[in-house]
Amino acid sequence: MRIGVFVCHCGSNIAGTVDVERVAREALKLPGVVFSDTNKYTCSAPGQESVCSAIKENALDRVVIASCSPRMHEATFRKMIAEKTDLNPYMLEIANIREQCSWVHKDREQGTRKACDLVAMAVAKVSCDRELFTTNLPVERRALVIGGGIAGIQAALDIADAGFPVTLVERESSIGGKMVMLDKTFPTMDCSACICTPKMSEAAENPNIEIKSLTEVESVSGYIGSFDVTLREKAKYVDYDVCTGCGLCETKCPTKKIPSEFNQGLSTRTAIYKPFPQAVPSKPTIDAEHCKKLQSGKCGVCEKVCPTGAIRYDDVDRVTTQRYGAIVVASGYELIDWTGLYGEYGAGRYPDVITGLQFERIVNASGPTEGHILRPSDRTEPKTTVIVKCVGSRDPNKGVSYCSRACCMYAAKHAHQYLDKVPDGTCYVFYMDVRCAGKGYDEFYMRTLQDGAIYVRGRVSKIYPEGDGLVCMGEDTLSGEIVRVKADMVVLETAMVPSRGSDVLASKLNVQRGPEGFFTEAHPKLRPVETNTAGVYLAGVAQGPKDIPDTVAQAGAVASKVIGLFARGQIESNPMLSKVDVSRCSGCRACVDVCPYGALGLVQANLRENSRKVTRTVCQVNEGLCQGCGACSVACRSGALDLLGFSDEGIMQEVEMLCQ
Amino acid sequence: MDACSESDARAQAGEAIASITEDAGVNLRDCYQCGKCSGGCPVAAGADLTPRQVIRELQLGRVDRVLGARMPWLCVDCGVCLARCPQSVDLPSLMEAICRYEVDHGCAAVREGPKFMDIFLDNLQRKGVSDEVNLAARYNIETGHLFQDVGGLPRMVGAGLIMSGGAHKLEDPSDVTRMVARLRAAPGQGGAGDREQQGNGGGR
Repeated sequence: MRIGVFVCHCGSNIAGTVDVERVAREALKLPGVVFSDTNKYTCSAPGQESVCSAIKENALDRVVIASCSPRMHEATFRKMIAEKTDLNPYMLEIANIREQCSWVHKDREQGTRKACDLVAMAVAKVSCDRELFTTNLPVERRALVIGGGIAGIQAALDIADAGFPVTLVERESSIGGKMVMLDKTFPTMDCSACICTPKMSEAAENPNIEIKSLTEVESVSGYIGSFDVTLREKAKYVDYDVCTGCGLCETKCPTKKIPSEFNQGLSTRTAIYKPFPQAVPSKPTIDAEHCKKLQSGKCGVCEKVCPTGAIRYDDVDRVTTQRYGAIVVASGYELIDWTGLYGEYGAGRYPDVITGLQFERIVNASGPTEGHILRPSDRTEPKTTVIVKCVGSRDPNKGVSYCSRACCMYAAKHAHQYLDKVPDGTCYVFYMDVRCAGKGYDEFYMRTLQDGAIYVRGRVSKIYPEGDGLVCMGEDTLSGEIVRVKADMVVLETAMVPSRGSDVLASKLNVQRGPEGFFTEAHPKLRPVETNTAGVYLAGVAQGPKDIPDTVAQAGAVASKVIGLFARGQIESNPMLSKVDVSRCSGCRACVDVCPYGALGLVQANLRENSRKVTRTVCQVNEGLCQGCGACSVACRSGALDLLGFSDEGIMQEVEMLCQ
Repeated sequence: MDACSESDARAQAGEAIASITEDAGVNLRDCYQCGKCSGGCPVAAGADLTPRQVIRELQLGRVDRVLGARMPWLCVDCGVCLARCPQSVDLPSLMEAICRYEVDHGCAAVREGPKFMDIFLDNLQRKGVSDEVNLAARYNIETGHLFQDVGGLPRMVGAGLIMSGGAHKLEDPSDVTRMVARLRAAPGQGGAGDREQQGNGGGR
């Protein structure tokens, strides 16, 4: 055995606290070590070169690199060994003497001693390492995009444009998400619908995109390149192959008083409906909960008037299973339900206290007031409007602790739009901070100030009705004065929270969520659109609050990751998987129950034991599903399961070395 | 204010602030100065500092401005600020801790405050219940506000609210007497034990 040890200075990151030369000298005394060296930056090109030449010159057969965390550069060094030497890349161990040593110690002597211990342990483990080999797994070149908002639409379009088929799943009856509800987009004041609806119809017309509305993900199994996904397409009660989307049924439906979800409850819709005129698919669905025919059997007007006979009252949910190579999660967000949280703002009892999204519908030309700013209670034009920022955001007591990022800008946009449409109106904006980091954003805020919006630095403490208006109480914290503003309408800019059902989706996809409930990316800086589950990617607010430009950029990034995977067409398997020694396996099932990936199963195996043929139940590892977590090898009572690359023997040797 | 005097003030004030915040169980760093407390405070409009400003001065180490302020004494402990505070800063406790600190160090900003409490507790200790006629009379005399609220006296007598011969004393006040005495003697409570040294006092 000829082990080489390479100790990295990492500039002063390690060398500042650890005497790397001494670590290298000490390493030479360890059994099997024939060579040791130090390097200023082992990961740099000259550093890698010197390691490779040392391996060749000294005929090393195992390598220990004492440097940063293996999460940082293990893959770098494996690739280096595989490409530039004859050594098997799994004959390498990383001793983490940076994150787990130099960065957490101040005392040089202590740090050096610990680094020596860590290197000794790595040497002990590398002595037990065996050569491992990867295999190539095929990739199904078809993507599933969950969520049909602007993030999902953009990702689907980009993937489809590269020539790969995409299924775009949306649980509402139309794609478009939140963006299509907005009136204008900051800071350029483009009409939101005018830039969103062309994307929606582009997605509908793209031959590579299949849009499944009213559809949810039922279950997911498999792994990167080969996910088997079961989708449940809810009954629409309308045959889309026959329906022409003429809209006659909507005009005749007798149930007309249902609050419109699209208009945020500010207008009504019928039981058979399209949420908005530009909906995609541009065909109606029946809301079974409110349909008289489906509830009591008495009506059937839509069936009578439909010129093409597309109504199907006996429609049922359709469940289909399809294989996908990659999954994009673009499940978006909801606005926090402030009515349950803010009693001091009336908890929803005052009709003229509205949310930002309701304001978007009011100010929108196709909204319930045809773009005239009229308050909900008496449809008069509010002469004084108060905008309250950070409702729910940055409020760990009642709402969420994080900043929702987009509200500062859309509050400025709302103030600008209000002052534009009501020139004799007064607009107060209660704020805590104005966060306008973005191209053209601060300029937009300054313009809103020039428009005449009065920014008051303070949180509104209470809103109460007085006469036919509302009084907002707060402190102008810049002057220390208590202020009371008599308003005709109050707009609450509420926090973004993860969309309902994110928890269930996360467990189906085996993806982690942060404490606030948004999906967690694999690395906050360097892998922002990937998750820790290979083949599952994140786009848009599903990953965290962001505005439209960031969402679209992230969707494009996701698409490039998916296209890259599909272009390769195959993936290298991870060889560090569970391996079963069937001669020791008793088929007790303990491993099957603990495996979080469903990678273990029991099979009947024909074995030869004590020179006799026997048929026994033993465990079998599905190498495609196994992620190498090691839970089974801990659970196995007879020691039949071992994790390659982290063998029981190797880990015991490490412990042994530490205890010497 | 230049940087030096700012930092000097901080150093001197550190001890007082540490003692107040520890007493109140408040972390001053929690407050991000949104002012929601002050916007809803029933007494802030008539006070010299808003509740938010009290915290701000303490955050900056300017404890002198807080110890001289009326706001802590005006606080009625209604709890609206705490209920609405996004950061759950316990302002009622903080106000109380400031008053207590002032009493303990003989620097009460509102001399009527400790006096009122002192008389109130005296009453309670002697009679077991609060005798409001006695309280009002002693308070007016001892603070020099001789004619404060006297205008309302005839109406109160007419309505039988006072001087109606009601028993302003418990039959056996000994339990209450003992409790109040113990409370006033407790160290750090601004009670009798402290009062003898400080020449000022009253518990809260």
